[in-house]
Amino acid sequence: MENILLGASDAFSLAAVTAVFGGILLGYIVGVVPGLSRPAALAVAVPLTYYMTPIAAIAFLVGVTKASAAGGATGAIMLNTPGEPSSAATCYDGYPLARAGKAAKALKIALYSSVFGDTVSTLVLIALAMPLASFALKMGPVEMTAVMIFALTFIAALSGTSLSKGLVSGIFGILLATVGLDPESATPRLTFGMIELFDGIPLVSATVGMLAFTEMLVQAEAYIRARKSGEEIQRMELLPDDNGVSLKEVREVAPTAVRSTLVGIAAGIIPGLGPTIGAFLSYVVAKKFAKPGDRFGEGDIKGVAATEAADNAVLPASFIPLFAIGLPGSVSAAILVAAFMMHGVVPGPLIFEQHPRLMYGIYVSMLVASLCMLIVGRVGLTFFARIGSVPAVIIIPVVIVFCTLGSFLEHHAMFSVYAMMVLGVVGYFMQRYGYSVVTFLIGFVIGPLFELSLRQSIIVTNHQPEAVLQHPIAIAFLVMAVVAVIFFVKPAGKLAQAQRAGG
Amino acid sequence: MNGDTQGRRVSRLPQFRRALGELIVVGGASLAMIFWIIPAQTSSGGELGLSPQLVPTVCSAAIGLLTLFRFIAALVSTPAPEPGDVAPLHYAFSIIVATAAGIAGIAFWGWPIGGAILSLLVLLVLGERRPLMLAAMPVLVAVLLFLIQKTGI
Repeated sequence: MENILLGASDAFSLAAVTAVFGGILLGYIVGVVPGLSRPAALAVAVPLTYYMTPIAAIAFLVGVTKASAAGGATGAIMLNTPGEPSSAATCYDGYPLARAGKAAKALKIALYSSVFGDTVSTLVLIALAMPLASFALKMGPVEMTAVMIFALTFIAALSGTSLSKGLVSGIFGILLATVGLDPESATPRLTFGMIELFDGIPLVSATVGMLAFTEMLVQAEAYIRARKSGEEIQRMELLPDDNGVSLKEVREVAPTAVRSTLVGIAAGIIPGLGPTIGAFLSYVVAKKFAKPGDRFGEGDIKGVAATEAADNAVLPASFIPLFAIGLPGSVSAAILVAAFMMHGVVPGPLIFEQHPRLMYGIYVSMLVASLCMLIVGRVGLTFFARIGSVPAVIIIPVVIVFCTLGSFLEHHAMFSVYAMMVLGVVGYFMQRYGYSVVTFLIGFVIGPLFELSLRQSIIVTNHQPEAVLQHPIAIAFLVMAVVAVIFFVKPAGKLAQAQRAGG
Repeated sequence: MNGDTQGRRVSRLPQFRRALGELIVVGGASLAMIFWIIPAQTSSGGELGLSPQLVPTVCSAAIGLLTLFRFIAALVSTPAPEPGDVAPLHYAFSIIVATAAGIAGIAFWGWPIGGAILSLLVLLVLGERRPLMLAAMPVLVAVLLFLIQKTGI
């Protein structure tokens, strides 16, 4: 108890609170601007903490990480341009809401869900770090392969009316994800002799190109057509009567936020899954729990709540294996290991014995960071919600410039910009001919992890498929995958039939 | 000709044309991947785990088979009405060309000048002709990109 109180007093010191607030501000900016990724911001921020006290340093970095997840939703909702790849799933319902004049509502739901997911996940971290970490240790390559097979079933769930087109897009995503060095033999694969492709097609280029640049092409098309035909050019005006969040809406969204937080926590605990997969998975789960009248994909607040709660729940949960067994559950957590070590703290099972005061201080700082995130997000929201009313003739060129800048910043290479543009054009044609960009991105994100864990499994099991029987967690996920396929494919078929019948 | 469920007469021909076009483009691309690009662009790999060619080949084959399935389904299924109002392709194409030219500008002259050119070209393609707008936006973009470059982000 004494350590808890001492830790809390450290966390509430002026230096620590200022550090958290500074981290939140920086993180929010990183989240809003596409291309400034969370790991890159953390990597830059780590040296800045060199002269801070350990608690202030960790609090600052935690602030950067948490707020970048929350800030990523702003671009996704207002411009269909996710600030972070993990916010890509927020575009599906956030952007249609903004276009319908409900940008402020979408931003509020995103913020409250982010803070909720983050806070609950932090509390789970505080309460259950040790017992849950033992579960993370049981996740070997065979289990990870089974998890990835389960995750790939999301493609079927998000295929929409045409399952076959959704599958083609998803498999195309997996195919493009194989570009780069082969994970086993390290020989170039589909790189056409380009060294820039050895690391694969950049993820930010893919998300920015496929979502934001494609959207700008569609917007420009609509703008030019409206101008030529003399039609009135529509703006995303805010509907003054429908931009608050009522108690009824909170009650409607609450079950989705709770479920998505749990999904996010699970994605955080399992090393390697990360926030992008967590957000996609929770969206699929939310869609499956949809009630009659819910309009997922067309602007449903539940869709925004689902992705944002899960995205923000991943980070605190990814600290569970980090604090308990020294195993980072995400790229951001891995960078934080460096920060811990810089301040003389080695994450792992002994951390609570060696640095109890610091650990409780970090826990309290994480809760303070959630509160700061709510304040900064709520103040910024008033400003961000006005972006939609800016005329398209200003938005389109500025966003295209930011698309190029954002993709450049990932690797500081023009190649990423070219990749963004090519993928944007591909995305435009995919959209035009009814191929889902969403399922493409799921395949693109999950593909490399699936291939890597499959290859490791084959080596570990010595090419003997029956060895899977010795892995009960893997069997459980494979059974879930089979159930999920039946669960997802059946309604998709019915929906397609209904659409055909309805003309 | 065939009828949909609401009794309207919908021609089968456009659906067949579209499915045939997809089969030629997507199916042809997957065949090119399997027989030409993948063998030429991947090594056979070691003997420890999987061949580097396996996943790309399986993906390409799956895409080809699904496209063939879609073509057959289009031949036997009830034709759906054509999507009505589709914008001419050259609108988007003109934006793509403007963006490509702007990116080339960035590659040759750096971010501030290239970014200004990019925004100017996109504005022109969008039909913007107000001199103040055409002057102000590229200048603002150039200043912003200069500041970003200067701060070392």
